[in-house]
Amino acid sequence: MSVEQDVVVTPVQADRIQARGPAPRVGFGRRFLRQRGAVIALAILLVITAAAVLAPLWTFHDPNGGVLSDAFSGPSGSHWFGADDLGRDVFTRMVYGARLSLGAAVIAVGIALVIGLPFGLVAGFAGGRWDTVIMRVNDALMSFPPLILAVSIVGFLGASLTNAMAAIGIVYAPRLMRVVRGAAMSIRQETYVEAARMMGVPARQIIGRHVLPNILSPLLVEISLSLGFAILAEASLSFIGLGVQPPSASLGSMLGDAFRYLRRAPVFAIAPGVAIMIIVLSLNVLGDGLRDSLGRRARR
Amino acid sequence: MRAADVQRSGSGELLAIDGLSVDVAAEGGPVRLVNEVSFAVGSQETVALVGESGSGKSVTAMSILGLMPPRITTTRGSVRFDGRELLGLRSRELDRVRGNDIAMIFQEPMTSLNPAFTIGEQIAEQVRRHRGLSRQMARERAISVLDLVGVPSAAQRIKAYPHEFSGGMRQRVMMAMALSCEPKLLIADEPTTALDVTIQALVLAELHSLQQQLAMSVLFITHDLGVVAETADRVVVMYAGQVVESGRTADVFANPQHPYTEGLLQSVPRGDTAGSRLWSIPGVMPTPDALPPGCHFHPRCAHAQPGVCDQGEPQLQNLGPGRSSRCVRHGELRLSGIGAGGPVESGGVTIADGGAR
Amino acid sequence: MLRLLARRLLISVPILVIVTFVVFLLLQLAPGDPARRAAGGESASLQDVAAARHRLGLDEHWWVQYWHFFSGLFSGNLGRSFFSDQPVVSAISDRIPVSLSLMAGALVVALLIAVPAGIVAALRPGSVADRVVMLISAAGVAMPSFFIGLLLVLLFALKLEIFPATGYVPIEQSATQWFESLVLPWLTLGFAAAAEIARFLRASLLDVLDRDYIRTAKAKGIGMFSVVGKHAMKNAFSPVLTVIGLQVRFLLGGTVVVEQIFDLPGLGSLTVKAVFDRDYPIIQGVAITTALIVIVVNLMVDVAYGYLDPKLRAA
Repeated sequence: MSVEQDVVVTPVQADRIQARGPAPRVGFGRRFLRQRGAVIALAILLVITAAAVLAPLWTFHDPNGGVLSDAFSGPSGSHWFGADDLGRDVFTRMVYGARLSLGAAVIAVGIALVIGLPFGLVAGFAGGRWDTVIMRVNDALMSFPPLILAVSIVGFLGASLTNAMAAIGIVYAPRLMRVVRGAAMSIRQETYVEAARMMGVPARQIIGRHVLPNILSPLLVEISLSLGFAILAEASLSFIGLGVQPPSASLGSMLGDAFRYLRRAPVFAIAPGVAIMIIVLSLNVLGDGLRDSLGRRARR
Repeated sequence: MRAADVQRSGSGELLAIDGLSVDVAAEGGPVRLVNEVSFAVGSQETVALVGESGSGKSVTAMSILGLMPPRITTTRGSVRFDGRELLGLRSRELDRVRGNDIAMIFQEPMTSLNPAFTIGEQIAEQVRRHRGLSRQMARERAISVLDLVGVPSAAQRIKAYPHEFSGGMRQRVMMAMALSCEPKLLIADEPTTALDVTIQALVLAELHSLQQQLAMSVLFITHDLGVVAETADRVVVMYAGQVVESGRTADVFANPQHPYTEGLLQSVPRGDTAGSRLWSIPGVMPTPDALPPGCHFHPRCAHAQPGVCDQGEPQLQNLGPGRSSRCVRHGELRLSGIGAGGPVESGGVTIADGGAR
Repeated sequence: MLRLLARRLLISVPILVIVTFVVFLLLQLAPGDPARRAAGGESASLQDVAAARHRLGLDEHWWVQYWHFFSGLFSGNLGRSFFSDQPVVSAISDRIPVSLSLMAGALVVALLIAVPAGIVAALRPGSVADRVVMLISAAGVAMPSFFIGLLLVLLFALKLEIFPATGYVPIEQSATQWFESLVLPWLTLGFAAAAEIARFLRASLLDVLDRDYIRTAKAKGIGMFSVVGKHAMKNAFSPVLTVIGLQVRFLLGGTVVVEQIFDLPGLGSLTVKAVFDRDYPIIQGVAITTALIVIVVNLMVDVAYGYLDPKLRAA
């Protein structure tokens, strides 16, 4: 955090400050590439995302239709991970499941951003009474155990993937809001913002040109970590049956279905479980790497 | 002749450091912070280890008790205490010496005490451990030793936490802790540097009287020559990880045999130079990874001779019993010290009148 | 210290009020007509529905409804289950002991694993032990808790047959069986918490071990055990306490899934059942209760902070 200083700025200097805009993030790309773990994680994520998004192009089985005679067949040439109880190819289902899980997570985090970003900006930048009120509501929301709140919201809205995404987004918004607020607060005290304010630059412009770009760093870190949590949350909801509804499957619901056949065919459970773990782990490592390479601003 | 013999003051050595070298792991390879340091401390003697920050004096002191971080430090040489070799001892055995036979107090009283425990507890645990006293007796010992160092209302204060004390008081608490088991040797690493000048004088006086009372030896580490003049029988001057001069304080001050020592003495503000410019040795001390060839001091030395001072590895030379210098040209130079001439000041307060020892 | 506590209590009040409002708001989200549901569903006559609406006070303005709801909370009335007509409060209080023993045990297990792991990792940073600890904890945080549960069930219940896969035995019936029925759930729920706590403890210890007062403690010769276990831990533990407080939220949420897997009659499974039954009062009741538990736990964490950091006590 910067110390508030007495700033005497001549009009010419102030012009230059405003023209220069946000602090340059020199060398971020290079610093990031030095974090080997994060780079590997990013690579894994890109591969998985590409595979999932392009699923119809390269998988040969129908994820939802199965040949009963194939049921419970072990790993083979045509069924890389075997087939499930209804003869559906486990691997294909996993790819499509990953697609759903990833998509749901992205939308959920998107919702959280839509809610959290504006409130965080207002609370952090305007401060005062706005801040107090918003923070109280935030505290209240964060008093609910996340999964219970999510389950409750889904409980009231009805079980479906869209409702699950909305629920996760709402549950995650307070945390994002906190991060945005923190970053906004520390930036608000920066000298160039002070200068701009003193010159009478409208708040919206200050936020847009100075505050927002500098919040990007901690926000990126948080988004990466949030995506991980969102995937876990969606998996939990689908596991219980409150998220994805059959016949569609996400990795979480696959785990839920696999419970019944645990003794007979543990691969039904292990495969999607490991898949979730890899994705979330990569997201966490990526988030940590981003935090380390973005330096001081990224520290909460 | 062992290097330590060079330093012997004749009254039997309590602590004998011989060829101590300390390397620390760094990104470009190990860096030598302390290079073949040898000196001794006799019984009931006060020896001052003098040098600028980064000269290796603190590292030397911490190596005596094995306090350097183990994984990145390599220590070679010999540190003998009471005839017993300390380097290479296992942690458990070293623990019996620490706080017991040898105690150490540190520079930053504000951060050297654990904020989560009362000072009574921090003193008592040491006595319980080394003397096996019961809780009650340990508590009483804590009170009595706090009294000894001059902490008022000791019986109430043992329940207080470190943050409730001022800097000078905290340093006294540290001293109380260090003395609680009546060590034979006290290592004091710049104990007064972080303190107010007036408090400094009080703490030093306290230390002096305690030393007499407990018949202790003291290894005093400092960069302040005023303090040295006041407290030390002998002085060992360090520069860039090496000993450059040693001898009896009066001798070294009146008659320095190394240009660095001369420079240190000349840069101390004196009462009779009021109104004139303060002088300091030009340049900066080299870092351990960028040492100049030959005599490490020669780039800053007014008496440096090219061809002589910038080559080879100057050795520590014996100039008489307990007297040594690393300057290759010491015989030719006439260096000026602070003799029975002017008083020696430090921080505006006259601490010593020259050569009274 | 009391002042600190009083101040925190004061802040908790508006938070609690907002909590109740949020829960009240949740009800409004529900599609369909709660009155119809209460009256028995599709088959209910219009009269029954109207009567139900009146009975539930749903024909009043929303702020009046909220006031009823709020004041009802004070008298301990959370409504009655749509499904079983049992008072929500009694349904919850029946199940709380199970969930609490699940959570408490999980926390204990988590600490038993995390504290030694964190200490070992911090004492030898960069070593094999350290890397192993960090790897396992990274994996633990990335895994859905039920995955661990499934693996544990697979290994211990199905293959080795040491512990039961499902079912709960109340402690009054048989202490050993109660214990056995909870071991796998404890491990499942506790593992993720352990992973998080271990990481934090390691980071906190690494920071503390660098401090001057640890150097002093070493120089006193009191032994590594005291230096680390007493001096370092007391200072390193505060950030960990925050993490533990946060973990309680997640543990509470985790009961939802874990109780489903192991078929334990706790709050979590109650909530899930209520969701499938569309039993709104129960859902609301659980939401408020859990939020209350979280707030209370956070208060207790603040009190514990005061104990660990004497400087706060004077505040």
